[in-house]
Amino acid sequence: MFIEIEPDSAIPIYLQLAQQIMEGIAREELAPETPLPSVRAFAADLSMNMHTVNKAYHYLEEKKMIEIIPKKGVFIHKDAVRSATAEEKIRMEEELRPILAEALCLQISREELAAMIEKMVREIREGSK
Amino acid sequence: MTIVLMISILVLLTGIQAFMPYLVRATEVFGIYVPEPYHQQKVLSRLKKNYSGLVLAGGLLAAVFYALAVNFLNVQEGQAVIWGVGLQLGLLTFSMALYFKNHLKVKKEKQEQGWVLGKKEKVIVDLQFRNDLEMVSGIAFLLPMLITIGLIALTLTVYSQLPEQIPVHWGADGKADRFSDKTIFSSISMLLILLIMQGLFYFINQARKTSGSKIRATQKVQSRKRELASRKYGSWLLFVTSVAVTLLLGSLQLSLIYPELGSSLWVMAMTIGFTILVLAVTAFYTIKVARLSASPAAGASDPDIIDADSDRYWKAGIFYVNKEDPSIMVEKRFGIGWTVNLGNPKSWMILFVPLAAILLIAFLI
Repeated sequence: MFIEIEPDSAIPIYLQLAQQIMEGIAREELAPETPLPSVRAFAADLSMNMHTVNKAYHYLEEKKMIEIIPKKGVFIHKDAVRSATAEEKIRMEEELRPILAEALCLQISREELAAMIEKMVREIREGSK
Repeated sequence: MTIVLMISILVLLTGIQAFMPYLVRATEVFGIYVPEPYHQQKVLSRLKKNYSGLVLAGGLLAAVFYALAVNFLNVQEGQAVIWGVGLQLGLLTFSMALYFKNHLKVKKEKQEQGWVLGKKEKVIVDLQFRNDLEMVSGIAFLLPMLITIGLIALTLTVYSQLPEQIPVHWGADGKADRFSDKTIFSSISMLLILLIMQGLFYFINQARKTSGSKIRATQKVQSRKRELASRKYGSWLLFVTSVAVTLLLGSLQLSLIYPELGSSLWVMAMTIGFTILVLAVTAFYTIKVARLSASPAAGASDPDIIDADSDRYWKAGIFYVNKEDPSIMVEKRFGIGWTVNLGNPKSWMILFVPLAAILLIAFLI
């Protein structure tokens, strides 16, 4: 799977990395337990600091999307695709809240929001942008 | 014989230097990143042709001049070698000067025409890249080292039977022409140098395994193939070289232990065979990689997307200095093969530790 990073984007590079890996998991292109490149190799492929990759990996590890097994490597978490726990749902709500607030300010209707979600889910599944 | 060798090296060198602009990645013109579709501009193809023509003319002229001069002026063989090497160095300097002139010209052209202005830079990483990497394993590189260690043990067990004078240098005719007094150190010094070289080959191969893949944003599939090929055939080339050096120096050492094995003719045949083998594998590598470096049919890609412009890390388009990049080795922009990332302290180790060790051995014997 190809990851495409835009160095000049407003979104930090580590987030771009993490988000694209998560999309890969969501569309099942990255199956559970698939190995990911080592931090050093990934950073070399990006010609960027290892710190950036580390940050992305830790971000995904915190979300239980990947597993970092010392001396063995980095893998997609075996439970990466799972039913959310109550805590995870609360966290999702917290993260969605400011976005919804902004949408209310911009007077985007619920129907429009629902259509947006529909469209984005389809795009993630298809792997398009 | 020496003259023929000198002339063939000069001609070969001319050929390689002259066609270099066509052997490297199509989007790297004289060490400058030129995004699609600009790399097909007339200005650039004219610069390339111009460079090739001048280098070819200069090299062939030098070869003819050399052949005539050596023939008619009755130059001694030793002198002829010095002149030959001098001409080779001269040709290299000439082509590098031309390269640099064109490098600056392309750089200026890039700025003036704004080839990267307002374009969206993209860095591509393939998560499966290293699973599809087919390189010679590190263990294979350790095997020739076992042979060397075996030869060291053999030399030390028959130490008392060795001649009092140990050859340390051979002439072009395959005869030893410099000797050193027999000590335990001088009897195995050549094998120690061999061991350092084998170790270096091992580390280079390992370093290339983690070297960053440079997948182009507009030609993902093809450039990925090219990156895989340059690593695969590069590691074959490295391995063949390691085995060939082992055979060459190992047989020289055997001829020291068993003098009846080593006629000067045999030494010369081995050396020439070694040179031809390494050159042949280098040519194979170059052709395999160059084929995938050419630009495929343009137009299919999004003209607003370019690769990350890494010109600022390439000093003069030749030296790669990037402190952020953990790669130790990277592929050259203008040239066949690989160079080191001077921004990484480990690269300096690969450069200087073996060199220092070999020099130390050379001074001690």
